[in-house]
Amino acid sequence: MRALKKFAEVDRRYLYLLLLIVVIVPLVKPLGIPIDVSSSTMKFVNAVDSLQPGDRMLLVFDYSIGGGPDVDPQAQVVMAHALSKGAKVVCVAFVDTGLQYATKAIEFWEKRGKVYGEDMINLGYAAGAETAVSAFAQDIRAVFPTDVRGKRLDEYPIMQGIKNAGDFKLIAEFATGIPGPAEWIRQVQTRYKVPLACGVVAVMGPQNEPYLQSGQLVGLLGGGLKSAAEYEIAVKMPGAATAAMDAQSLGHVAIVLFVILGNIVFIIEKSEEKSKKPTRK
Amino acid sequence: MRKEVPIAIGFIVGILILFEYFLKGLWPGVAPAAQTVQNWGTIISAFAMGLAAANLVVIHSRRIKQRHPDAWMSFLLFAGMVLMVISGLSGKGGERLYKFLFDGLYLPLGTAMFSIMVFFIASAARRAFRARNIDGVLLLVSGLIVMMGNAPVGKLISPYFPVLTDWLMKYPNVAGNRAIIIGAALGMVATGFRVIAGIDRSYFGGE
Repeated sequence: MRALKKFAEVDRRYLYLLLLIVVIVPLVKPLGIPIDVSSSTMKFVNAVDSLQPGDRMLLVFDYSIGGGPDVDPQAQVVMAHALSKGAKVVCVAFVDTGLQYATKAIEFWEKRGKVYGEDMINLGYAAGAETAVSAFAQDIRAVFPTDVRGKRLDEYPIMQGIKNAGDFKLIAEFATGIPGPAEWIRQVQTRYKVPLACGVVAVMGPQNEPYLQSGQLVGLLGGGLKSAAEYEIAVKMPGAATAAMDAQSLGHVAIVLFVILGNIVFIIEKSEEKSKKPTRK
Repeated sequence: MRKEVPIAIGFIVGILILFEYFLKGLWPGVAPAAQTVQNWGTIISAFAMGLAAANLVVIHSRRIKQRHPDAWMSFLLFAGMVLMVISGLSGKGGERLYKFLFDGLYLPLGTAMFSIMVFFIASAARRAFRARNIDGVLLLVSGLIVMMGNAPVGKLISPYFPVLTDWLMKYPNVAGNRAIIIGAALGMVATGFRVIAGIDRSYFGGE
């Protein structure tokens, strides 16, 4: 009882230190906690798996720096999976920082032998959120007459025959806010009937679950980094997300314990207060 | 005229986009017109970003001029802005500096800001997440279940955590969110009509 009360009074910086240790230790010495693949992740994997060599997939980098650690591993593994299937990846961003993530992804794969303009391309960033998404979906060249390297889109083999969003076999959008799945469903999926799969930060997962059930999304990575880890496990490409899962697991356990202990102390204090109150005779 | 012109623009643009969405087949000429209007939208958005940058310059110049105690922060902001703009615009020459600034400063600082939240959550977990009434108990219990179900370790502690998480996400969560989505969609339709009809004038500063 006394120990519990001490926990309630302990300087919060000790809790911070404890949390830091709990997160860092598994990063240095992984525990190897098994990761199960959820059905929503498996649907996403199947959507990318169904791509045939030469099919064009649109990869949308709609994420900010803050949510990047949650969503970027998702985009990376999906791009790796698509390229491994022989699909061609068209990258685009409707969030300013997304452009830099797209550029990094393109450079990564260029160093590994993929050809820019044939296997993949980076169209760039367009301001205007939902309006820009709608304009892009209707006529890609009206929004992006050139790619980020300044050449006209028609000069690249990967863009041959691609006029609007309906010409892609699959759209994979990764988002941390607006534009996100709702905007892409409204402006693109409903109008062009193109399969849409989305990856979002963990906090956005629950609100997008109805779109997966209704079939408007063919896949959803709604658990942030955990979904990225599931995807990595499903396609046998373990990477940064899988490595971080042990740390995330122990972090969750620590916070759950803090909540439980905090509530036990709260109940004890409440019952003590009650017993101190004078009883009516 | 200051009110009539924006209302007229709102009406024409709104009707055009509505027609393009629902009556494209009946009126083929509407699609290119709607496309042009949407392209204008993206151009205006890009200008709005420039306007925001100009506004930032005005505000922080004023702070420096007034020798505000935090004027050094404004200097820092200007230094960052100038460096990013020059390195970004100077083509191949500035590419390395731009990448360094983005990957070496902006990215780690931005992600660190987001990561710091875990400490606030830890602190709040001890003091604020209290089961004060039945609603609080429901929220707390479902939150704890979903937290454990969303961590791989949850299944090791109890095989029921992932099962319960799945149920919570697929049924109560979807039901609640679907209601919110449908309600918000109806609200959007109503607001759209109010804007087109010129009843809602909040977009140009009216009531």
